[in-house]
Amino acid sequence: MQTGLYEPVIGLEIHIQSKTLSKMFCGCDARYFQSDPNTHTCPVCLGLPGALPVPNKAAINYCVKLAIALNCKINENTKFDRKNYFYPDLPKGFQISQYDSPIGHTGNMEIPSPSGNKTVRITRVHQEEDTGKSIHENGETYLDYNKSGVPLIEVVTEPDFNNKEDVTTFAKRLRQIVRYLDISNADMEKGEMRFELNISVKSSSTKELPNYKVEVKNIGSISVLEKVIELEIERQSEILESGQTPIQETRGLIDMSGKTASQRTKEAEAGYRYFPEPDIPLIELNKAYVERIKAEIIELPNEKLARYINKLNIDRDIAENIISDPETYQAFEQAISKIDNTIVPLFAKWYAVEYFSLDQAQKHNDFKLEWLTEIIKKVEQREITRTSGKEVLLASFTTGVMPDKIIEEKGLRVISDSNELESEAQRVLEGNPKAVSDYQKNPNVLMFLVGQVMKAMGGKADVKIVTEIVKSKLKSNG
Amino acid sequence: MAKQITTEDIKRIARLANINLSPEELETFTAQIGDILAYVDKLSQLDTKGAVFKSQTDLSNIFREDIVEESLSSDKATQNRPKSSKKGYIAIKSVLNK
Ligand SMILES: [Zn+2]
Repeated sequence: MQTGLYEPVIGLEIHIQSKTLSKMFCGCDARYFQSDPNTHTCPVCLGLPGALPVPNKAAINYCVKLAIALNCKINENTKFDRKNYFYPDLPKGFQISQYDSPIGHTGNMEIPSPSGNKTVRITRVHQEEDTGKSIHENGETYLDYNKSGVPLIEVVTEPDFNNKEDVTTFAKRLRQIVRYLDISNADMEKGEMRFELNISVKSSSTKELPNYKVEVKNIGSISVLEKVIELEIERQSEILESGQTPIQETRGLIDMSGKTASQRTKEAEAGYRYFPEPDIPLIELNKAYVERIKAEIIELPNEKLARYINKLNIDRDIAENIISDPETYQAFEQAISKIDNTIVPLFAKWYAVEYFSLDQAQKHNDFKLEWLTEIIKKVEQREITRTSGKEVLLASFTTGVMPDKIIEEKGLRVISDSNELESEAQRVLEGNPKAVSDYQKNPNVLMFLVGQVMKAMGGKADVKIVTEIVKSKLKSNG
Repeated sequence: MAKQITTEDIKRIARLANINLSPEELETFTAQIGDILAYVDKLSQLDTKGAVFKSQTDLSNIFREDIVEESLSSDKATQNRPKSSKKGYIAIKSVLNK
């Protein structure tokens, strides 16, 4: 592909299932995953005549919370609207959504990017309901309405992305935010977070937006999203290269490779004929209410990242790893609340690198994350080597035995008794006369001899001290 | 000023509403809907400057607490639908036939 010549213009629509207990407009259990088909339904979510939808208060709170977290303005007067279209998974013939007064609008989210922080504008955040599920098999379509009416928050961005990396960063950050806010698990494998992509490609030299736009619906994971973007940039650039303009159309995923095909359906006509939902009275979100919800919002990923980097002196990459999900940062913050600030950056590194690499399924119930502090201190004070430190961590982690005890049992304490090291070094030098005599010509010999001493000490010696001893012995021998 | 309703408009509305119209019906409804809209267009003579959108009721903020209530049984939920060869599902003619 001719990078540099063309660049994409990308906007996103993201659907997020809220983790309420009940559905958006009825009392059916919203936790439908793996339930038998059509066991979570009632007249409201089946769209039977005469049923009356009543909005779920918790779902509204969640949507307002996300809108605030995305720096949106909140519409003091909001309402629901009917979006009319025909599809079998939509039994009412319309979806209850929001049209001209979404709960939140005109917000933004900052994302880190290689060229400094970027701001992605948020067009709107609104509340709607999910549709049922259709399975296409044996020439028939099978319908399950358990998902019908589950609360869905839609977030729409402006076309502010010009590369796939920023899209990925944004998607991950948004997932973190909803998890921090505890309003959705955003588990993509369960379809709790889905993407719609608007993408066009333009010449890099022009500022003008392209006069067409391709929409790709129903993307269920960030990795597929990335692939679709790659393939679309390639496909559209080729069309532009040949002097033509790509067709404005909706495309659907063919498979998980990110390949898409044109979807020339009636839906493309987009005659949704929105009108106010007559069965649901207006909703007033007054200032006091908005302030109350705002007060419930905890430190969000961007603020947390900045604090970790600036106040706790943790490396950016390490900090990003730790803030990645609530469970991870909560365990970290609990552990560091008991330790000295000066050791925190080191603790973070061990936590994000060594501790994360352990198989969490093997974790012993008695293991405490604070023990990592003891291990780090012992490594820092050269009581045990770094390698032993990792060994102790693994043993403590899997057996629940305290680090001290493991160091004792395994005899891992570093030998810093210089007499013992001196005599061992002497023995090694005497045993390798050729190496010793080569030392003047080949300084690499030093590392070889140090290695021999370390080996003789079973790795339990301070490599710096050993190096000093061997070096001085070589000098006096030479 | 209301736009003149054409048979094309009515065709499109019928398509969006999933209704098949015969050529005669198309004729009839084009005329009728045109007349109705012309009549309703009188409303646009009203001065609505400063008017506030009012809903159908004086009520506002009618919510339910997030509490799970009992759903219908699968049998009951599907009893008026075509029988399905796939247990618990509602089966219809494939919508993928295009
Ligand atoms: Zn229901």
